Amino acid sequence: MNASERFFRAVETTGAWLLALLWIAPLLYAFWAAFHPSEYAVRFVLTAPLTLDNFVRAWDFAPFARYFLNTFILVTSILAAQLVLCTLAAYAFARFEFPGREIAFLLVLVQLMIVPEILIVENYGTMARLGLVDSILGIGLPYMASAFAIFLLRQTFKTIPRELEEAARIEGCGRLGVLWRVYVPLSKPTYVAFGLVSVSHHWNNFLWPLIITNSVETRPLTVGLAIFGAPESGVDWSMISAGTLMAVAPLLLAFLIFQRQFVQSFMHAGLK
Amino acid sequence: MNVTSPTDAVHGQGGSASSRLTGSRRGFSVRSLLPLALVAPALAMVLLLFIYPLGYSLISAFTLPEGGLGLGNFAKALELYSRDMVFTLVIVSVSTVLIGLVAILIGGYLLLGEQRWAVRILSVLYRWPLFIPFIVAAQCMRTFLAKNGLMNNTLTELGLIEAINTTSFLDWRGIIITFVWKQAPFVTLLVAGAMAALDRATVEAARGLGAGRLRVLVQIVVPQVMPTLVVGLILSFVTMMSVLSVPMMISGGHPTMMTVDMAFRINAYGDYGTANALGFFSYLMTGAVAWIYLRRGIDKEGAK
Repeated sequence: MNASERFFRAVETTGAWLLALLWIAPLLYAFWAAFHPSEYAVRFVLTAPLTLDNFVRAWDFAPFARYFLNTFILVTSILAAQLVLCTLAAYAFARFEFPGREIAFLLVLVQLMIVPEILIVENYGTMARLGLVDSILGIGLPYMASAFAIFLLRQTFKTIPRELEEAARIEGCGRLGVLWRVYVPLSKPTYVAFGLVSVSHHWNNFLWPLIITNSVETRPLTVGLAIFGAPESGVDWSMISAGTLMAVAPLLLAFLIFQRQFVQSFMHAGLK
Repeated sequence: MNVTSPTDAVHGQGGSASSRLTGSRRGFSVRSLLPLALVAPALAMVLLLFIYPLGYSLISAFTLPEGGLGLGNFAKALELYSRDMVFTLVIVSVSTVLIGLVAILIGGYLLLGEQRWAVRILSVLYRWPLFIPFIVAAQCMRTFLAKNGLMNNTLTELGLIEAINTTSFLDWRGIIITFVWKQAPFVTLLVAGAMAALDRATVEAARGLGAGRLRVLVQIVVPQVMPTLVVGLILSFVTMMSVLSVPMMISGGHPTMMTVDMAFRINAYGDYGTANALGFFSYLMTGAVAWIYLRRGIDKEGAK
């Protein structure tokens, strides 16, 4: 290795370290503030004592166990409904011809262009008429027929060779049997990739749950976090950071455990 | 759009068992109803919770406070918030471009990097913000980027800047930093996945012919992953247009983003007309971007 190569390698190493550190800095900061006493929240002192007191105070400050349960019910019910509704619709759009198909698909695509948050006022009225204000079903209902999932699954189903469907039909499979035994198993990477996006999006969703809920029994984690208030209102950053870490810990842990599967799913999903 | 023909889809098995089962009137009827039954639940929800409120919000945007239809709400929205509309478009556009650059850089390094341990560290670290909610990202950034936040305090303690010279990044810069930090991992994940799925032979061939890594990235890798990159960027653009917590928490002053203005019109004045007019402008921006993607997809299907 000559001097020039050594120089570029050193630049590359420094650049990679710098980017990695910059990227992780805000999260490292949250860890730092959460595990140290309040007086060290914005001071970086290597000898600062470690403490779990901030987590204890944050846990006592808000009913986190209830928020965790609400969030878990919310994301799993949304995902379950999305998988069923969108799989059926995507199969019909991908493999059947029926009257009004183009218009129906266009209506679904319009949803892809506009985020549901913009329709909050009208959706609140609909939920009020359905008696679903301040309920977990009310938070999840607007997201259950996901245009993104229908579009993604339709694209994936269209790539599956018809010969496989034909073989299954000869073996006596009904149309729903073909969907269940051929299309769904072959689209597993797309389902995993979509599941990841859906769970992280709804775990993190804030605005709609903030509007539609008004009790501890239904509030998800993100809305619960908001009650910690602003730093300038006297609440200390260490406790906010501890609450923040508790809120994101399940997703981060799940990601650390399943990251290989997640990344491979995105690789095979062919999102384009 | 090239769509599956009915005979392909339903009778597509040619002389197979299925086509022999299609003779009866009952079989024909069930087959005709099945796709409608499959689509009906999802379509009903789209109509009830999306198309209906969308139509209602558009009517509300065109309904004047004193009754009747007109463009009064749009005029008011333009008069009061035209600066914020431009600000929103600029912030989200700049963030989108930066997200694209970061995604290409990280994805490219993961594919072409020669320091294995550096690649491994970067591949683990870049994904973390993916699982942080926008409100939490804003909270982290607010305490990190403030004038007396950890970033400035650390730089001061390291002697790199004087305490008196520290500046707060809690303005348009903070919004962009937060958006890029939060959304880049999602796009990078898509782009890095597409890059990893590429045929390595083309990359190796170019490297063998003496092309530098930057040239390989720009001329060989990026063009091949461009469709995936565009999808990720459009999804990020639409997501960022709808975020309220980041502009509200990072930058309290003016100009600000349209979501903050919409929340303000509703909370302070109960002015749904102007809020819906602002929403209409937001639809135009996201709709224009999403249309590019859909047109591309439709053209591609047509080409097949």
